Amino acid sequence: MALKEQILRLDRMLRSADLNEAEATDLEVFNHVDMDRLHAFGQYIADKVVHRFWGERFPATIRGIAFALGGHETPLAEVARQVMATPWFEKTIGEDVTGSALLGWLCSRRDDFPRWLIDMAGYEYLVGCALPRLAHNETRDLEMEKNLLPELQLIEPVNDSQSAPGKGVQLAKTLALVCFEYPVTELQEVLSCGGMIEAEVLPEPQAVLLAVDKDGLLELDAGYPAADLLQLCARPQALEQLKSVFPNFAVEELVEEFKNLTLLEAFN
Amino acid sequence: MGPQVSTLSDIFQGPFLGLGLGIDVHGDDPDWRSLVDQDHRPFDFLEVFTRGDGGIAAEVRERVGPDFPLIYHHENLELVYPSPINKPAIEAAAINLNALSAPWCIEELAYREIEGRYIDFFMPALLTHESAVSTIKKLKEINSHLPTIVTPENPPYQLPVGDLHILEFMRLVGEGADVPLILDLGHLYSYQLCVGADPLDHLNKIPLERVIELHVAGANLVDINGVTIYEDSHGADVIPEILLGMLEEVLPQCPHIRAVTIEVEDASNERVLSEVERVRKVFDKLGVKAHGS
Repeated sequence: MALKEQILRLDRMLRSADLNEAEATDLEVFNHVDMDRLHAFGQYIADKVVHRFWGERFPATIRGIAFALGGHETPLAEVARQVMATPWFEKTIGEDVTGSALLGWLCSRRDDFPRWLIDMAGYEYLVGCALPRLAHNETRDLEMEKNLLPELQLIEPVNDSQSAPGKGVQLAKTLALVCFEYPVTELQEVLSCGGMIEAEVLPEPQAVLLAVDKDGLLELDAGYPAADLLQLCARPQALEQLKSVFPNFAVEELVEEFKNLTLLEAFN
Repeated sequence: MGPQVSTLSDIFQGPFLGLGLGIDVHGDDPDWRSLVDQDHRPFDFLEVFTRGDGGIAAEVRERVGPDFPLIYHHENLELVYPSPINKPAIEAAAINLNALSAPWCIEELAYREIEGRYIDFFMPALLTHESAVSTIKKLKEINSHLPTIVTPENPPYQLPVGDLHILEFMRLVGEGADVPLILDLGHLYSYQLCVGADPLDHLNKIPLERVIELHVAGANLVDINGVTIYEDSHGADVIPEILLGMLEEVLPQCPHIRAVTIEVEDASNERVLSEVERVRKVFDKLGVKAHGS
């Protein structure tokens, strides 16, 4: 067996979630390998991977997956063992900077997991990965993103000088809008702090609106009319125009608040 | 100082630089700038790891002054992975070597990528003759593109694969590519733990006359289901006492020794100073002094 194939085989052995299978298929090649040490090292790597690759950006997702795999006592490293054993792990870029391995794997097995977990993973992906990368013009895994968050809307300011009124406001930052079936922020907070989730989570739709730029993320606790107003402001809008679209809404106050939050900018 | 061109003979015959610090100049800990700005630096040289950034290498040289010795530690030449040489990585190494005026370039006998996929930890060389032959060929080719010599270092082992001892593997590579060698004592200990041997068993397998630099660093021993895994944590943990004992044994046996380096990433400045003091005590016991001190 060529040297490169030996290295690839060793890599697969270390990533195998079921090393008994590896023992059967690879012992002939690696007859100097200490199998106890192989198991221990595989476990050590999985523990490093789950924390280094995903611990910071997807804390609740990995806890939710571990819980779904085997209950609250399941070590987080088991999540890494599962992902690493599949070709999804070969999609990692750096420390899985795009989330392609973890979330691609999760989406591929979405029927095995509660639906709230997929929602919450989408929320953590948005906050911890997609939007920070968008803000810094870094590549994203758009195929995985579409699979995980099919209804995600990214609303960006449109440079449209022809439709600009003489005086008005326009969106100053990119907005992300997504509607989840479950209360993702609440679930995320509980799990990321090490709390437990009841076996059955009831649907409770939640719209999440996030503004993003290089300075960071701003999560807006805004209802649908406010979200609609911001969406409309992707193109320049005159204040009077906004008032006519939202006649039952305190448009001026809202616009002022959004200007203070640097979400809208005025032009003359 | 301009680019430095070093031959094998230059390296073997140069003076003993003394005790230095291996630092990642991109890291916050230790604060290398405040360490080098001291009036009386408690270390004799720096071994610089730059993540391939030539700009910061120039900053290091400017900060330490033109005559302070600097060595360069590179990372992604992938000496033991059977792939074509990585020209951008070699160019980056050349830029850094020139910026630092470093007399040699260190690179572990390990790989960090598999078919382009970053693996986040050092996977050490497969310990076979075939692997040694492949490494020698690649090392010779890389060295033909650089102003000085890439000097291989034994990597940490958690799972040796192959029928050669790591010190035998290093002998094959050192002699086959005709290069000096770096012996990391913690990494050697990690290998010996894997094979159930004493820390300096089989030391006669490596040609100690080729060893120009010794490394020590903090480490943590992790027990997983009764298997001891050596965690090469550098400055995040203290140097195990056993490594200082190894240093005391090995240092006098290396006739061309040029440097002893403490790798200190993630250490506080206080820990750096206390570790320097511990290694200096070994030097004092052996009567070892840096050139010019």
